Amino acid sequence: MSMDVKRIFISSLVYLVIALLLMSIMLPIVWIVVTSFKPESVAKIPSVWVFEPTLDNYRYIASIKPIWKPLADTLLVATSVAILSLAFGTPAAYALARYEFRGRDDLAFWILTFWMSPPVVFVIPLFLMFDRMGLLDTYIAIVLAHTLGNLPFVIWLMREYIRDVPREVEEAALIDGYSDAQVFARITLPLIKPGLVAVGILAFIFSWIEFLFALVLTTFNVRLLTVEVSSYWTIAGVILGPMTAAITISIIPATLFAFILQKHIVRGLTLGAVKGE
Amino acid sequence: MFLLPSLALLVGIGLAPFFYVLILSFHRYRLTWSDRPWEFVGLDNYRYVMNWERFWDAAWNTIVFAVGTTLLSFAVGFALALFLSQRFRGRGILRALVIIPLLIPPVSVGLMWRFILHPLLGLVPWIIKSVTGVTVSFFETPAMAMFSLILIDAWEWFPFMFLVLLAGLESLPREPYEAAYVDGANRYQIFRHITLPLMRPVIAVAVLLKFLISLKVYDIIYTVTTGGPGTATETLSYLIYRQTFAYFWVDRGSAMALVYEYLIILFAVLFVKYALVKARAG
Amino acid sequence: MNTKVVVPTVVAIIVIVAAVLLLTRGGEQAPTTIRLYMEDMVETAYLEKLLPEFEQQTGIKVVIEKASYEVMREKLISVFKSSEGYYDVIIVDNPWVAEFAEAGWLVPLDDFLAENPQLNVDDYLTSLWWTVGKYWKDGKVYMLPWYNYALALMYRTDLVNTPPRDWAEFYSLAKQLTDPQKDFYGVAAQARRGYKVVEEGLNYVYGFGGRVFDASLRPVINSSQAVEALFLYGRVVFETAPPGAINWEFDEAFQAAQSGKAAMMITYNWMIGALNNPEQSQTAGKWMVAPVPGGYAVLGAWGWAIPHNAPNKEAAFKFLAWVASPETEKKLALMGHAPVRKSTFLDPEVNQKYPYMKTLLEVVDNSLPIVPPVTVGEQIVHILGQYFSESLLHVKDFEEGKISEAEAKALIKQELDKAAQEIYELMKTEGYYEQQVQLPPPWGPG
Repeated sequence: MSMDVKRIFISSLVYLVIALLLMSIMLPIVWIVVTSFKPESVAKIPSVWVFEPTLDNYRYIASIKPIWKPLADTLLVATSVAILSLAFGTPAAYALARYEFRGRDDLAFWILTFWMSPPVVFVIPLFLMFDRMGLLDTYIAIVLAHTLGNLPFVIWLMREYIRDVPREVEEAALIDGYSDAQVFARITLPLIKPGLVAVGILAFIFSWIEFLFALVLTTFNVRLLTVEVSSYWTIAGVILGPMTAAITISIIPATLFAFILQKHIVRGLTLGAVKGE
Repeated sequence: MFLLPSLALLVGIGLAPFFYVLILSFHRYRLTWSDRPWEFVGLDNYRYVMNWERFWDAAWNTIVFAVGTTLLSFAVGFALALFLSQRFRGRGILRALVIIPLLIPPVSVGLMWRFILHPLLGLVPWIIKSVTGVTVSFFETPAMAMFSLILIDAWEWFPFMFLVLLAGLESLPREPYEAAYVDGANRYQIFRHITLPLMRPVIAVAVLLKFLISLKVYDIIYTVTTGGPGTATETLSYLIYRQTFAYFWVDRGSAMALVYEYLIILFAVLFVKYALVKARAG
Repeated sequence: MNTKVVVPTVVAIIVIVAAVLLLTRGGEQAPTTIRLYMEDMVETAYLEKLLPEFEQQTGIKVVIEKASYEVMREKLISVFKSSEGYYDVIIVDNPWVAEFAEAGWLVPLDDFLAENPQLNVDDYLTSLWWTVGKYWKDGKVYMLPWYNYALALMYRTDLVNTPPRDWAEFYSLAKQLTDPQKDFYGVAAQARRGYKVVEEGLNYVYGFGGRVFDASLRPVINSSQAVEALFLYGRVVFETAPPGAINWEFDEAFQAAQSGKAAMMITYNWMIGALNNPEQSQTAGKWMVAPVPGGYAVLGAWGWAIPHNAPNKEAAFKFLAWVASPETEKKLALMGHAPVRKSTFLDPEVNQKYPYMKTLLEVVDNSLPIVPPVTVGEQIVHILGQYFSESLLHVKDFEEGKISEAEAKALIKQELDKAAQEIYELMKTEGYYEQQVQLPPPWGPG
């Protein structure tokens, strides 16, 4: 009996902590949404919750400084980056996880070193390179730059998820006459779907929030949200109302996207079954 | 064959800038010196960096910041991943909602938190004051400023940990759990003896990646404290950012970035050798 | 191969290529469009309201690209270095003029000014003209002043009878008004490291008779006057300003002031308009402006410039001739723009609308730039910012009783010595001490 009481007490304590955690995490987000409806005089006073709601901020981002083009561009770029990073990174991760060859771990590590230096110093040479190629202010330049920036982490994470797939499954398929590429595509990929989705979402997000390359590599033809939103930071203060409105609008498609995809982050049912055989 | 596309991209686009930076670090050159040739100075830039007290102070700040934010975001991310890997109604919505902080541009995150933490008008100090009656100033002392930055950064980045660990949890094999249930193990025992050991490799990679991300963060520092008060929150990436982009001393910036990179590689080698290999060996 | 990966990849690539082709086509501009790069500010909105007038006069269409001050330098570098050039007219901050001019990134405006005598450069206030206009090193003009941000004292008329005239008076008045129990403070200070702490702290240094450079461009920021000034500044920040002011920037301070939590504030002179604007301020109508205590104020200014790779220079000159003219400035000033011309400051119509215009003229007239136009202006500001911030931390130790006043001042002196040393070495690297240079008025002798 006392064991039960103790268990109930502990688990309710755990849920209380989780609930508090969720609340404190969501509070700033609620604040962003609330602020986007505030009139200017109280916009920057977060402790004010009672006010006359206004749509001025939304009018600002809809007509005075429209965010539609940046929003569409960012979605396009981030989606392309996510797909390209996975398309390039997953096969590489598979090779690094599955094949034994000399210097394999060194190669994996070398790939990660691309992720270890501060990006700041590489912006200028990359800028000069794209300038020479005439690719400045094009989708190609920014998508390539972001994909390059994502590859190391995509490879490393996917490699870890691929390792979790039991080898016997793949070997069985090889015996059945599948080629290497077929094994990878038909057997391994479906099994690592949770990882693919999670890493895909992350690659999407990393492109979504990247700022420095976006600032330097894009100007008129390509416009990205981070650069657009940063312009609300002025010498005479942050233009907070429109900024929070822009954030509110921009996180809606991204969150929807994440919501649809997260369903795929579920336990690969086959995995346990196969392993249990 | 599987590796080729990635390597082509990395070598094709990634390597040229790297050599540019490497060569630049042995020269004296400022971005504004448009018509002046690069002057070869050997190891001068490196000597300058190695003897620069602020560089090492910033290195220390960077470590404090990175360790703090990695641990905090890991704790929060893992707790939420465990919680949201259970099956219940509304799980999908919660899963989508908790990744929102990562979707907000970091520049905006920093700016917003300045208002949320405003000692007189901010949300958090207001709540603390209503509960305890104490006015808290989040950036008053160097230690407080660092703590606040870690808090803000962890708020932004815990979804990263959450996503990586959730996918890891979801791809764990089922049958050890079934066996444990049959044996009548309680939840804590299952967590301690099954989940944790199985998750160790993913946790190690997640922590490594988040640590590397934290080492590179400059936007939050730029928007919230600009490295102050004094040099209390000045991190290496912020220092390098200033040298390169604000002062245009790309030569020293390059040397600093490379020294910094070697330091990280050193750390990463040790981490991969010990933590990761050990985690994989189980 | 797996269709799940390949198909989306192919689709994505096709979409990207198509989009690039379409949008680069669309990006080609009609010959009569010019692009401006400037900060997103109220000033920009005023200008936008007047633009139709210019477009009608000349048939040139103007597109304004609004950016954040904080990222402008980074962006401008890519603008200057790109082979095509993006913008026809840009706004440049005063610490950057010399740097961009010496790099050859700006078009000299002397010929243009000779052709357009109606622009009458003698009408610009001297302090502004030497800050952003005439570059004393080669005697050429690279920028035309656009608006000033000289600092001034804002005070609540219901709490302060006569504005303080020196810093000691300012401190004791602020102290008297401070009541932490009621969440009310004397000064909404902005001591965040970087530009802010310099823009505020340097007023104290100027008021105590200190300077950053002497007439031959040697750093003298480690003078005893500067030490005294920063010590008093620290006392103001820690005794009379709200907690956390050491990390405050404009926003935090302005919100504290407008919501009725502070009696005074040192900020850009034209902010008086925002403080008295009911849409932005809960204490509107209670604020008045005065010159900063101690006489000399810190001056900053933006100016118009044309990048060396501007695609359409001819139209850019036309725009400059219109926007910098006294007529346009008067129209802008009537909307609330911060003037740069004497004639606008003294204009009866402007004065009728803004009765404090004469005070503002006094403020801008008696101001010294945050740094003179040297090629490392930005870096000097940040060196000062770092050591000013370190100095404040020593005053904090004094406030907490950890060290004595004499010890605190000795430590401040050490910080400022380091600042002076760093500035000296920087200036030397940039070749400033190879020949004898003399700072022109108003900051040098004369």
